[in-house]
Amino acid sequence: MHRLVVFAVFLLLPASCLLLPAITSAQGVISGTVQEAGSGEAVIGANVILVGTGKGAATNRYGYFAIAGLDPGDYSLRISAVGYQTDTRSLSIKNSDEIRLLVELKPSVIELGEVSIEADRQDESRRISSVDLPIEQILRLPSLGGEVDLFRALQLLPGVQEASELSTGLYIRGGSPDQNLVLLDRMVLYNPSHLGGFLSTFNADAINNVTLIKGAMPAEYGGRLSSVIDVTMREGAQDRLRGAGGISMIDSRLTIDGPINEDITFMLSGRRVYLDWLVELMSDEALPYYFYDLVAKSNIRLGDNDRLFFSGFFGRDVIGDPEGGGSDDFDISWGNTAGNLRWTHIFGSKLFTNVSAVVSDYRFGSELVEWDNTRFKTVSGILDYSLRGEAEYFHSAEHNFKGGVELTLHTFTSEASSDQNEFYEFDPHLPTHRGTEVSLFLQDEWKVNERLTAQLGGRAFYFDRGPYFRLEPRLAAFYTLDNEVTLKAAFIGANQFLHLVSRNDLALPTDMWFPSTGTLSPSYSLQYVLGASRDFEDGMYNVSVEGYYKTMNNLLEFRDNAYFSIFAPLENELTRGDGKGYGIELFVQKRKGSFTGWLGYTLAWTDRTFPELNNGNTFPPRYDRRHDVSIVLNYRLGKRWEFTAVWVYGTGQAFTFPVAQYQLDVNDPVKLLYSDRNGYRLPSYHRLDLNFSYAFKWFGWDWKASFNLYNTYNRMNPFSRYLDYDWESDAWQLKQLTLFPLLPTVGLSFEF
Amino acid sequence: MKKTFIVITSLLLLAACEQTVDTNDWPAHDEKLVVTGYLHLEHDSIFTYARVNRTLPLGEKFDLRKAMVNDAELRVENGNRSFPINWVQGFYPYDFDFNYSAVVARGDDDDFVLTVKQGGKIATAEIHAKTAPTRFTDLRVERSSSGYEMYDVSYSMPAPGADTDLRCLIEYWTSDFGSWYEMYTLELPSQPNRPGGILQGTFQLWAYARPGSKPRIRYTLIARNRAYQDYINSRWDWSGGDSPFDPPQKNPAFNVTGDGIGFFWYEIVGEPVEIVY
Repeated sequence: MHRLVVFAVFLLLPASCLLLPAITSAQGVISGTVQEAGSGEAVIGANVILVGTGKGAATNRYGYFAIAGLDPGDYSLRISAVGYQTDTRSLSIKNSDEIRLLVELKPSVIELGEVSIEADRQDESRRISSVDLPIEQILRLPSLGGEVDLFRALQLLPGVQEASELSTGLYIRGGSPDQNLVLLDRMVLYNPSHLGGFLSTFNADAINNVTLIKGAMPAEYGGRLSSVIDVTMREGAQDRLRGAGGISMIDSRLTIDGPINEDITFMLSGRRVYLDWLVELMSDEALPYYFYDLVAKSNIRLGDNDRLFFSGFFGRDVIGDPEGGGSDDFDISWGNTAGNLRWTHIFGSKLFTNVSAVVSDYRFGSELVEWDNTRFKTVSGILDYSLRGEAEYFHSAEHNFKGGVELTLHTFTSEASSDQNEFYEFDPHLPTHRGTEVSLFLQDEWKVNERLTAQLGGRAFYFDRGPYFRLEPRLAAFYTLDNEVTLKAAFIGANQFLHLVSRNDLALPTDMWFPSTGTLSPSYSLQYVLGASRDFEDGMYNVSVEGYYKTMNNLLEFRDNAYFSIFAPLENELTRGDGKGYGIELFVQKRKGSFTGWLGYTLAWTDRTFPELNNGNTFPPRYDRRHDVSIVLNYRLGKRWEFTAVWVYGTGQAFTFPVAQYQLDVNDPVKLLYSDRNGYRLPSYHRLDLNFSYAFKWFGWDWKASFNLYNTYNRMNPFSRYLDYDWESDAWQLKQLTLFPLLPTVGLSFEF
Repeated sequence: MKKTFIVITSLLLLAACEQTVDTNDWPAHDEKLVVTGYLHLEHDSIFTYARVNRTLPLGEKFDLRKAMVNDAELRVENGNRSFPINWVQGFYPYDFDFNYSAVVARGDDDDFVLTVKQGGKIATAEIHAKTAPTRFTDLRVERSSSGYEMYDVSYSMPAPGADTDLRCLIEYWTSDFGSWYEMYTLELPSQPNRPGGILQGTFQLWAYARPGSKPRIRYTLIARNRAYQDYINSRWDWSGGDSPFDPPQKNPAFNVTGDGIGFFWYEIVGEPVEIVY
């Protein structure tokens, strides 16, 4: 059935593109760019509304908008965005006028002791399964170790779960982390975490905007089954040199941005963990681990209609023998390197285009030296070269078309070598695999009438390792019952040609990306979403409810007793199965006033069925969590003090655990009888985090000192349980591993 | 000041280190019967042995006497017939590996279903005993050119298939004692290596004989099903690794189902082939 829908979409969209220009003529256009006053940072997702007409638009990722098909007349234009003061201006349109605006929004005034993170109704009515998390809000959250983490903030949203306290891996609506498309300025990051998943690779100071799409992905996103985390970096201030930084208990960070000249801005940001230095200072021991990351961005204005952007990311985790130079040395490192060169051009005022060339490289390498000076070297990774072209055509107030094409060349490296031969030559034993992916998408955001808006779109994929050709429907509809209530529905299909094969549910750098092959078909999913959203008290409160049902097929897992070796063909160690996830998410927000926050609750189920695992019986993945609650409260007291509390609760993790002991024969050791796969539940998880921050000026800079209490009531949350045999009592003992008891931390951040 | 900061910082970090605590929150124990059943098919008889234990909760010391089950009702279905396996006092755990035993005549049907009932629990296991591969279709022995006491043995037979463990028991007749003496037990491949499902192979044998005498050597094929090997593997596999960083643990490939766990296997002993030199 869904193939028919896709075919219909693909036939109708180009036809409507051809026909519609003939229907409209001699009408005006209002277009422009919305940016932050002073810094000139693009304001993404700002709502631009012609008051009283029902017509409007939202700015794209470059801050651009256009409202076409306007009859001559006088209009009142209102521009609003989360965290900014609303701007209203009057405009007059004559026949075929094309008005280009530069709108500068001022950040919300906080001196009044009020924080406005208000989202406009127009914006809410076009969202389904999607959340924009303002960076200001992320920075207010309590942190672990004084370092605010983007992914840990996203874990507080309904429908998003963590696998464990150690991991920032996002498990969204029953999907695993490899099913999330993680984009930084449209560059794919294959391993978006440091410290084995403890921190994400994103430095909050360098971020402009974060969009989380939990399921109903628009047609422009593809290649993953579950979700999209689309992070946009700051472009660099236009008015002056700015800086931001911080010192936490585990790392320090510094971001500098500003103008190079009238047309060029830059942003540079770096972060390094210094646990290794601290340990070295404190003791004779050495901690052979550190990580760092660097991001850079430059924005070059080539004229009114042209801009060039360069974005770059470089991050590394390094584990190395601090002694070095001798036998038994080891040197292990992994990380992402990515770069994106984009050119945007506006044709007239209604056609916004961008072309980009992207390189993304994730690499895990190790070099070990044995006692006899034999060297072993392994390298695994994925290297992508992509070319992407996208166009957004603001046809009229009723139709906004988007389309694009992307070509990606994947190279999968998996090498192992040693210098056991006489001349120290590293001989790769395993071949390098290549794959070519071509995708095409089309979408029409169609305002059918005052109440009904539809997003009709689809994607077409071609992957040459098979080869495979797939079509994906991307459909969504929004119906406004009155000014406050919106009903939403979506249906999407998604395919995934790249698989992250993992030995467990922790994100480890040794996890390998593996492409679909002739025998390993792509994974695919179908998702159905129904929801409703309602505002109360003029947007002071918002309540949103969404239900989803998702099927996933051709998922990959390691076989039982798989042979883990870089020398063994990985394909032979994998087995295929299916899964599904369904649930209801409740999201209650208080968005205005000095007291803001939200309540998120998820009731969810997810399971997997693999013929070769668990005797073919359906089992829950480790992150199956029936109940998940997050409460975030923020209170600003005057100009300087701010208080944030976060309470989370989750059903205990599922995992495989011994449930009994037995002996087959009198001469045998006593053995453990294990539960079904993930048939045992850890106790429920809950904790309260508190953050107190104090803002002050010092040497002309804005400083903020924060004091965090992680796990305030010292809940002994189980990270894991295991059995330990006690030889004195000649019996098993049940042990529980708790990672983080009450943990006070401090942090200091500054801006200039 | 700097040192104080570092000390405080590090202490706080150390406070965040993992903590291991004891807990008595043991998983609920759903008792299972632990069954090991064994059919030994030789000549015209089936020697049937079984051992029945029970699982014990994790929170207590393992006591074999508490685990032993001596009041179970065991029965084997074989084609149209059914026979019990009775408890034998004193067999187990001191004198013999099994606490239930029976001997019956061999029938025509190769399918066996073992049922164990005890205290409202029912455990079952099914096996199909393949009889075809227990006989050589061709067996030749020639004195090896490599040495006076070495023999080249070549054999041929229908291959039993991957789910069968195949061995050849090689015995030597000792006239001094008037009995057969085990020389080797040779593991043979189970997969065919010739067209038509045929398994062919050769091996060398050392056999000493007094000058002027001819050694008597006999060859007996013994076939066991996969469950036997699974049973052996599970007895001595002592893999730990309940760490969250390891793949999930799993139980051995039990072929006893229902309210029980364990293994039910057969062993078919073929007719010996004796060659005198």
